[in-house]
Amino acid sequence: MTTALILNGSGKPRGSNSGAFAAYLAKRMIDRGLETETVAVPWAIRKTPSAETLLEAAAKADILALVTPLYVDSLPAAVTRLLEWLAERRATSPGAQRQRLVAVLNCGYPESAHNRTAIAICRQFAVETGIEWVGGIGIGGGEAVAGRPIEKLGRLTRSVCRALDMTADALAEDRPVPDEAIAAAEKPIVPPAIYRTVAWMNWKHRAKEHGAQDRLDARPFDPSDQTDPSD
Amino acid sequence: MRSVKVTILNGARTAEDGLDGVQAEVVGLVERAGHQVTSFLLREIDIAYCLGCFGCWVRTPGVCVIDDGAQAIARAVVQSDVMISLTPITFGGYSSELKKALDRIIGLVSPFFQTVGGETHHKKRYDRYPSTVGIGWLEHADTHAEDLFRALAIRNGINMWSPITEVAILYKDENVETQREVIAKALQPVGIRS
Repeated sequence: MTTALILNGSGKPRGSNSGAFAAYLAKRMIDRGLETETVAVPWAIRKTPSAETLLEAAAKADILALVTPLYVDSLPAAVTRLLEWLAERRATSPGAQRQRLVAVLNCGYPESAHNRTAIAICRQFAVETGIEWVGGIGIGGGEAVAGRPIEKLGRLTRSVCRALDMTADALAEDRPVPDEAIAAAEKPIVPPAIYRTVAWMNWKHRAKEHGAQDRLDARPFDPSDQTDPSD
Repeated sequence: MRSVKVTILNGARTAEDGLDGVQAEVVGLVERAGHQVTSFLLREIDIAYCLGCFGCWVRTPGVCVIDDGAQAIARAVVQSDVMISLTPITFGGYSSELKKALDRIIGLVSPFFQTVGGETHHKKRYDRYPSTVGIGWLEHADTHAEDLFRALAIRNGINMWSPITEVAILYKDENVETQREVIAKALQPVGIRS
């Protein structure tokens, strides 16, 4: 049976959007006869035993499916660290079996184009390590998902579900991720202007929960404004 | 001549990455030009991975909720005129050591959005931000990795409101004089003239 290791790159211990996309992709892969395992990368790599288990699982899997948020225009540091380790291992023991890599990026900006540099980094990793690159999809406006199961969000995530369905089909049938899947993922979850307005209200609301609504514009490291952020 | 405050983030993963020598070159160029420099050798600093919790935006605005070495880096960066990042080019991007620090300083911008060049970006939190110079290190020439590194540095410059973004790429087998020239050329536009 074809095995897929799903690498969730989110730093959030629970309720992450990457976790929601990863869970959906895992279900669709299982429906298509693939065997999946999902690992939370930032947590797994913190301790030597779990990092070693992850590296062993990554060496054995037929498919590596990286599902991750965009951090500062590229992959989160924890994901980068994992890729560095994988590259080092493959340089000394390349492994006999063929491996494939697919990437699913999501960002907090409404435009999916922000993900392109990170997807290109994933592709470059595959090229440098001899792993077969099957493609990457970039989802914009990921914060609209709020960690909820994407199959239950109706119209909001219909295109993203379609993109992930097509991605699972491609992986099961040993094809590259089709352009249609990439285009479906790039369709804005919410129109950018609406997304920006909702985000504005959401930041205010979340800050209010922490009593920080009046300090959202604080400049704690500005020499002329020494407001203590913990006040 | 106005003195320029420079912060160097050295993202070399090991002493063998070749970047410690580059750091010494950069420090020398900056100091000989009469400017101030603060360096951070990131692999020797305790910096946790970003939790993606947005606490630096909604809980303690402007400051990460994790109290470790990243706090001093965020302060130094925003109080600088120029931030210089040194990194082995890693799959066209940054090393995990450099990325760990960059992931942890997003509180320097506001959570709120504005449109820049047709794209959504975060608003400024501060009135001014440093210009940035990304210095990437490669074992040998690789057009794809170099183009990607440049693109990433430019994207970061837009998101971090850098007035000027410069990129320099160094190769392991180059002699020191060539490297010095490449570095000096990248530093000139940000006000550091040797």
